[in-house]
Amino acid sequence: MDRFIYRFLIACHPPTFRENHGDEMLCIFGERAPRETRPLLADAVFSLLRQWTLHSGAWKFLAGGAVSALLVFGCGYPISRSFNWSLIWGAQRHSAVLALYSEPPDPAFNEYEFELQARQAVGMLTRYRQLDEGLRGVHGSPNASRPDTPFGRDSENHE
Amino acid sequence: MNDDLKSLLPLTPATLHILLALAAEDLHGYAIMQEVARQSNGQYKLGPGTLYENLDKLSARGFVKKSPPPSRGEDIRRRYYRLTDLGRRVLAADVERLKAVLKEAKLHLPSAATGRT
Repeated sequence: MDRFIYRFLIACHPPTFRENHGDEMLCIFGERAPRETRPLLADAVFSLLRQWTLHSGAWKFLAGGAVSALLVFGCGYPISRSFNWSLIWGAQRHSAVLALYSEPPDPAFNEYEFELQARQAVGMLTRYRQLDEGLRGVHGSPNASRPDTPFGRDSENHE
Repeated sequence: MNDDLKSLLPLTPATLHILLALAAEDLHGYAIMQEVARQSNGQYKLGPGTLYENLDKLSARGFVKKSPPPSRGEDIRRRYYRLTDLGRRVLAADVERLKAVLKEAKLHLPSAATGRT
């Protein structure tokens, strides 16, 4: 049972790590268990967490998502009908791409594409801010009827 | 001490022990774990996850590299690791740093000089 759990924990590691070291780790488990089963299982759990958070770049995805969420929700923008989910989704998507590729593992993802994604992400947030300020400044309330958005006229309030 | 090496110091305890274990001969992962436990009188134990994570880091930094098994009868799953010249120089530099730390400790802590606790 312990070996099955250990094998499962190794199988959950990122593919590169698993392929490079999985067999040897199982081999070591075979030699050390049952004397040190618990420390070995604990080591595998911590290794799993470290590999998926620190080394796989997933932490960048989480950080990117957190930063973009802060930008959208935490900078004084009212959560109201003026919310444009396509803008927010666009910003989140670009942040996620930036986060994932800030150390591009794929040679095809070059610096030019990285810069393009960065510009698009910043542009999305800037346009949202302008839209929000425009709604508050011109119409007094974000709940008033909407002007044209950067993505064309929003038909929600137009009959 | 070379300024280039200084930027690589101090080594973490795991890194220091792994490099020290490889200083004498090429070893596979399990043998490194055993050697680390021997060096520290069983006080410092590396798990396989921590060991291989550190070996990956050390390989990426050029401190260790994979080496062929010393004999034919070895388990093919075992991969051997060898200390590179850079790794050896970094290890020597860290040992020098630790000597300086020990010297300071002996000056300010009488118990460190006599080995009593």
